[in-house]
Amino acid sequence: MRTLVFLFITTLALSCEEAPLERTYLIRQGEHYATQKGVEALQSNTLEFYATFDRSAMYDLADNALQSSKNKLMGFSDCNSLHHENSARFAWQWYDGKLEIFAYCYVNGARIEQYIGTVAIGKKNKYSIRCMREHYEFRLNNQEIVKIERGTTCDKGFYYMLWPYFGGTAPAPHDITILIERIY
Amino acid sequence: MKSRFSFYLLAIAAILLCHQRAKGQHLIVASEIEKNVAGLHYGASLSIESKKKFSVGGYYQCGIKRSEGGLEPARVFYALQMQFPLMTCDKLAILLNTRTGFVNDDYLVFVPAIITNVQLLPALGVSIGSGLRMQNASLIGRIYLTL
Repeated sequence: MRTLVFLFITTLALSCEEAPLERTYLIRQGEHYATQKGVEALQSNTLEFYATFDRSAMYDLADNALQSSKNKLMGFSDCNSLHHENSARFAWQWYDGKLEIFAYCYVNGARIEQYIGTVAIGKKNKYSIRCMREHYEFRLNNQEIVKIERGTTCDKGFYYMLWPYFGGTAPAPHDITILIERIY
Repeated sequence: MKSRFSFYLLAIAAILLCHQRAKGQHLIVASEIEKNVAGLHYGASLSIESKKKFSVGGYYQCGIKRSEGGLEPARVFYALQMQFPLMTCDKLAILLNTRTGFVNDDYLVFVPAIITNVQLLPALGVSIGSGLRMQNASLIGRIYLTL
């Protein structure tokens, strides 16, 4: 019996390998949602990750209003709220030949967008959102922190993760891939 | 602090309730290590197990992180742990394990896992299993004492 247990544990241990923390999120042409998604609860007051955009992040929607609507990168819904009620996310848009990054929040149902900076295609950048008692803190690399007020007074509960999403109203004009590496 | 108090209250209530309802049950004290995507986490649990291997109890887990003041606990996780038998035989049991609780006091999480219990001695056993933590697989090793 003990030999059997030893063999079982050894086999299991040897068969394990480190899971890659990088995931490529693909938003197919004509779609809004990325292929890789799932239900996950945020387990800390800080969400940190690296993201790399490739040339697929460059697009032309031939309409200024559509071009300036924000695509969502990653974030979370706030405590026990739906994400159109209270949430915090990074957003991005290809505008005027630049890849612009925004803080994108819903605070008690009202949308707040704030420009953070631009990033280069093919470059890995670090993003973090810190959920404080009264506000969210957005940080891109080592740039200055952008603070946005937090609407909910709830602390204890379910904070569900929000994954890459294209739009706005217009779907992805072509396949878009974003490489994201979570920092735990 | 409140959540810790609620956790202890819940764990004691669960144990007392089960104790009154079930006959031939055991108290199980377990110490465990979990390797998940965020690193190694160390845990302990106290639960009550019925003859048919159903169990319920309290669970505590934390990681360890370095800070300026030395080592300190990280991702402290208090949960209600429940186990449901999927397949049992003489010394082996395959169980569905669930942990539902709060990480860092505020963040509600649910962690399902499949665990294999191996009874080495009448009062001592080991478990090995795999769970789903932070959307990634985790590996769980556990040693338990039946009281």
